[in-house]
Amino acid sequence: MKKPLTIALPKGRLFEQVQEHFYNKGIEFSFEKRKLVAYDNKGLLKIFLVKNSDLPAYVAHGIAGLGVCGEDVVYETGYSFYNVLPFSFGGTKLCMAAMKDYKSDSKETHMTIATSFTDYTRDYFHKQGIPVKIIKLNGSVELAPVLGLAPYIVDLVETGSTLKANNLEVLRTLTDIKVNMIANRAYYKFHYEAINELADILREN
Amino acid sequence: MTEKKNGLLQIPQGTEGLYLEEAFRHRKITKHIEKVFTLWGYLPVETPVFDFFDTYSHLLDKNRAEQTYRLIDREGELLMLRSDITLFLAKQMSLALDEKDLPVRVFYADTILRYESHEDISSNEFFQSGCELIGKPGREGDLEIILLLFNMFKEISLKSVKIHLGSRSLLNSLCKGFSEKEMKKLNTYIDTRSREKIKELFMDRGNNEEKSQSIVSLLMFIGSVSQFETFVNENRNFMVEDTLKEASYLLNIASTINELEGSDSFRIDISEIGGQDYYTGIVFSAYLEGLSTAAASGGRYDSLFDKFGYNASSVGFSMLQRKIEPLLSQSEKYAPPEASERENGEDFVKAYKRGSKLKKDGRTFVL
Repeated sequence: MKKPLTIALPKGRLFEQVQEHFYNKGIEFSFEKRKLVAYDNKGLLKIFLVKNSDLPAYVAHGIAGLGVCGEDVVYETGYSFYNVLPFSFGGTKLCMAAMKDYKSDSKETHMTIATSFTDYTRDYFHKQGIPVKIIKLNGSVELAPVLGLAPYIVDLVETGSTLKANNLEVLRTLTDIKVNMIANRAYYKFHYEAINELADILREN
Repeated sequence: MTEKKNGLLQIPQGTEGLYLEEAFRHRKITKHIEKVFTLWGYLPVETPVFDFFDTYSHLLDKNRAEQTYRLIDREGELLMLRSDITLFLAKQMSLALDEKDLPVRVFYADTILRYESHEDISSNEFFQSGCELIGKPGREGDLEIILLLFNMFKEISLKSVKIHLGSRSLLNSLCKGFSEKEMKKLNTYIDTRSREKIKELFMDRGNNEEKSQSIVSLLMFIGSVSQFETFVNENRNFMVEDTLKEASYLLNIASTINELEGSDSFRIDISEIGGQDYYTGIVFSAYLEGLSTAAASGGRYDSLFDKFGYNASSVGFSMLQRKIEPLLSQSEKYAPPEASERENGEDFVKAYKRGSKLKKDGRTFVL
């Protein structure tokens, strides 16, 4: 019997969508209570459930050969992987927002931005030659303009309802974020046939 | 254990020390690898620990330059610590070699330092070993170095190795007229297997969708010799003469290797394009089950020595040896020998004499 491929899946919002998609393609799995390792019904996969932001580290170090992850998370970790298969679900946008009535001060030498996505935000504005001061937050970023920490935020926007509830509006979209099945390069090279077969099973029509 | 003074035993992030059994194992593996290289007629080279940064700066892209550790000497010259033995070796051999000496076969095994935070934040000190075959252009040079790499893995009992053979010159034949920026983009897209982006890039260069798709399939190809032959025949119409020539050369190399060593360990892989810009011909990487990065990589670079004013082609490979050592940790071959010990209450003189006899027979004795 073939050794199963190893794959890391992210806890949280994305997990249910991934599980449903795999189920629709005939690959079923579930995690017993408090357990973080599971196998699928076909014996194709050994699945690890990990924190979203840690997922790239597990794949980069080869603990899991594959992973399902948003481009935003990969970018922030600085790792680079093979994008084996893009998914249409889980996509979102990385946007800059501010309070609806916020008027920027023309004497401002730089924009102050609160975000969890510090690397992407810094690189994006530096490429455009716009000076920015970045404050790193680990969550509830939309509070920053409300409480006066920073006039601008950069955050993921899906429906925009959180922004709306806090009287914030999107000023610009920095990038569209897609979810991909990623692979550790060496792992892919060693197991490319099995990984390509898996990608064919999981590919959306 | 005695209490240690606070902070006295802290070590800088990224440095590495080896002790006892692990150090023994490391040295024994190194010796074994060096023995394989020597049996193939390769002689050792020792390169300096640091050199002038300016000598190499034009050969390092932005990322590579950032990875180097730099320091200023007492006269104010900017120096760099050895971050890649190949570069230091190219300069050293350019200074030492004469055309009549060629071909020259050399190997090295030494420490390098470079910052690799994304790869492994806990290790910036590496042990790099490898070989260079200088002054032997063409097919036989390429074959020798790939077969040497394979035999090295076989000798140290890592027989499950998979060697992926690619070609930088094949890639270059597809990208004639590309600007430096476009080449950089393409390398990044190949390096992330971003098929759609590769396709868009070739369509932007004026190729139609069908041809661009065919180029994507070529650049992403991994498979056996016969699969590649079939692929080339099916896509022949989309390939220019130079691309067909390079594909045919690669097939020739792979077929000869298959004939000599079987096909299980070799794959044609056009997405192997070599990590360094100085590669000009065949490129390859070796992969092992359980390693998160390639175990070894190499290729042909016919213009690197030119940068140091010496005209010689070269082909070689290197590996970060400490990465493969955990795979050999259970091998008895590299374990410290079992030792006999002085018996409890045994007289020192008597034990010394007994030990001397045992040591003459090649056995280890602890007084």
